[in-house]
Amino acid sequence: MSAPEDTPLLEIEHLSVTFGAAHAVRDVSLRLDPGGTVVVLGESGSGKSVTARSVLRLPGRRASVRGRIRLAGCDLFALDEKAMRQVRGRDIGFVPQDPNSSLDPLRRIGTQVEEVLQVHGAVADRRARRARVAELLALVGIPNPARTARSYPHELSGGMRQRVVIAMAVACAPRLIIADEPTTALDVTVQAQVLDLFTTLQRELGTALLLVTHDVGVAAELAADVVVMYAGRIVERGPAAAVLTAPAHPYTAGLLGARPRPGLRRGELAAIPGGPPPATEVVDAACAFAPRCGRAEPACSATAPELRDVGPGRAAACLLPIAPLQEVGA
Amino acid sequence: MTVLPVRARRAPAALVAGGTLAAALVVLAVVAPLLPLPDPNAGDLTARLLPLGTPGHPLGTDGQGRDLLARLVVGTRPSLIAGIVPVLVSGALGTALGIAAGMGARALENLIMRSLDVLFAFPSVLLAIAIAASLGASLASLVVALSVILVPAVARVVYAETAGLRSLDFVQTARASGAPAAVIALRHVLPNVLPAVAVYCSALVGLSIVVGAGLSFLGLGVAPPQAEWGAMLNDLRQNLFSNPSLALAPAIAIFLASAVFNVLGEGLRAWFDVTSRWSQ
Repeated sequence: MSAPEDTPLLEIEHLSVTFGAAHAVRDVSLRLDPGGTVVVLGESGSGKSVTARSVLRLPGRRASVRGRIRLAGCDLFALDEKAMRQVRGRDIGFVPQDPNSSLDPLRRIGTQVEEVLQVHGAVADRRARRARVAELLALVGIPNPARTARSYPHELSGGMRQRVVIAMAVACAPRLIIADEPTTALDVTVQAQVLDLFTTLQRELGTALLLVTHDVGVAAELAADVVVMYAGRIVERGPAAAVLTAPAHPYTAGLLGARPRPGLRRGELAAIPGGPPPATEVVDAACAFAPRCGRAEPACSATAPELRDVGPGRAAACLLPIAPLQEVGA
Repeated sequence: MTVLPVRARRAPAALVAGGTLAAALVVLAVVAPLLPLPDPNAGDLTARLLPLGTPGHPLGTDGQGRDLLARLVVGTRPSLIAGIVPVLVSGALGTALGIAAGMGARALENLIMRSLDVLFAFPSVLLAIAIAASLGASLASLVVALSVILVPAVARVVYAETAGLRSLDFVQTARASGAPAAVIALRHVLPNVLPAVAVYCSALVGLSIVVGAGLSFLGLGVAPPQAEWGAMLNDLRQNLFSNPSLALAPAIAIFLASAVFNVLGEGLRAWFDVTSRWSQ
C-alpha cells in the first residue's frame, strides 16, 4: 500500500454501526494524517470504542457496519479476512483498555510479544526474534528486558503490563496505533508515563495515534486534534487547545465543567443533568443532547444539527453553538 | 489486583488422595493377570456359591464356582477401560467441538450446538443402550456408546468456557494483532480451558464407570465369560435372594472406583483454583 503524500493515513467516511436495534455509531467521519494524533472523547456508550474497533474490523459479533474506512487509501472493508489479518498488527497496532486482562495469564510475556512478530513473519530467525522482543521491551521502557521477557503477566504491575501491550502493538512498526482507553485502568502517575510513552514512540517511529478516552485530561495532555462524540455522533471537533478552552458545543462545555479540578469547592462541580439516551432510542431528526442541554430551544428537538464550521479547523453539530472565547462555566 | 500470599504450591488433600487411589487402580488393572490368583474363568461346580471368607476364596464363588476375588481383580481392567477411554475420546472430541463452536462464526456455532442438543434430547443411558446394542455386545461397542453420550456434555462445558474467554481482552488483543483463529484457539483458548476440561472429565470417569457397568449388567458390555464388574453383578443377580452378600464386592468396587475419580476431580478443581485464577 503506497499512497501519495497528501493522502490521509486513516479516513473514516460515514461510518454507521448497529447492534440489532441499537444504533451505536451514526454517520461518523474523521481523518488522521500520517504521524498525527486524534483523540476521540466521549462518555461510555457514546460509540467511541466501537468506532475505533471498526477500523480493525472487530466491532463485535453482532455488529452490522456501513460506511467506508480507508487506510492509506486502501479500502479496509473491501479486504478479505486473510488480508485484514495482515493489516491487524502489521499496519495497525491495538492497545486495549485493561492491561490486567489483555495478556494471556498462562504465557510468558516474551512469548506473547514474539507471537505478533511470528504471525506476521516479521523476523524469521528464532534467535533474532528473541533479540527483537528484548529490543521492543526496552523501547517501551521495561527495565531488564531479557529477564522480564521470561516473566508471567501476574508478576508485573499494571503500568508494566500496559507497556508490554504497547510493545506488542508497535512490534511490527505499524503506521497507526489505536488505543482504547489505554490509561483508564492505571494510576494517575502511571497514566502520565504511558501517555509520554505514546508521544515518544510517535516521535521515534512516526506512528499515527487514534486514542479513545473519556478523560478530558488525556486529550489535553496529548494536545492533539479532538473529536467529541455523543450518542454515536460527532458533536464537535477541532484542535485540543481550542476545543478544550473554548468549546462550541454545550456538551463539550458540560464535559469540561464536570471535570474535577483542584480548588473547586463543594457544589461547584457541575454534573450534566440526566444521562445519555440508550442507543436504541436516539432519533435521527433531533439533537440527541437537547433533553439535557441548558441552551436547547424547540428547534433543537425538531432538526438534527449538521457539523458546521465554528472557527479555524473547528466544527460543531449545534444549532446554537457557544460563541467563541466565551468562558467555560462562568 | 490482590496479591496472593507467597506459599509453596501444596497439592490439596483431595488431589493427593484421589490421584494416589486412581493411580493404584490403574496399576492394578495393568498387573491383574500377573497376580497369583486362581483362573477367573475356571468354574468348579462342586464349589458353587461359597460364602464370603471361605478359605482359598476370600470373596466366595459365583454360581459357576468361579473365584470372585480373581474375577473382581481381573475385572478391573475392562471396568476402567469403560470408564477412562470414553472420557478421553469424548474429552478430545468435545473440547474440539466446544472451542470451534465458541470461536467460530454464528452458523458454525449453531450447527455444532444444535446438533449436540439433539444428542442431549435423548435420555443418555437409553441412547448408549441403543448404540451398544446395535454394534453388538463387546467392550469396544461399550466404549463407542459411552463416548457418544459424553461428547455433548464436554462440548457444552468447553463452549461455555470459550465463550467467556472470547470476550476477554487477551483474546481480543491476539485477534487485533492479526493472529489467525487457529493460533488463538491452540495457544490462547485451549490452555485456558484445559483446567476446566480436566476437572470435568475426571468426574465424568466416575459416571462412565457406573454407566459402563450398567450396560455390562444388561449384557451389552464384555462377552462372557470375561470378568467385568457390571457383568459380575448380572451373573450374581440370579442368586441375589439366596446369597445377597456375594454381590456386595463388585457393587462396592464400582462405587469406590467412581468415588475415587470424583475425589480426583474435586482435587483438581481445588488445585487449579489456587494456581490458575490470575488476577482480582
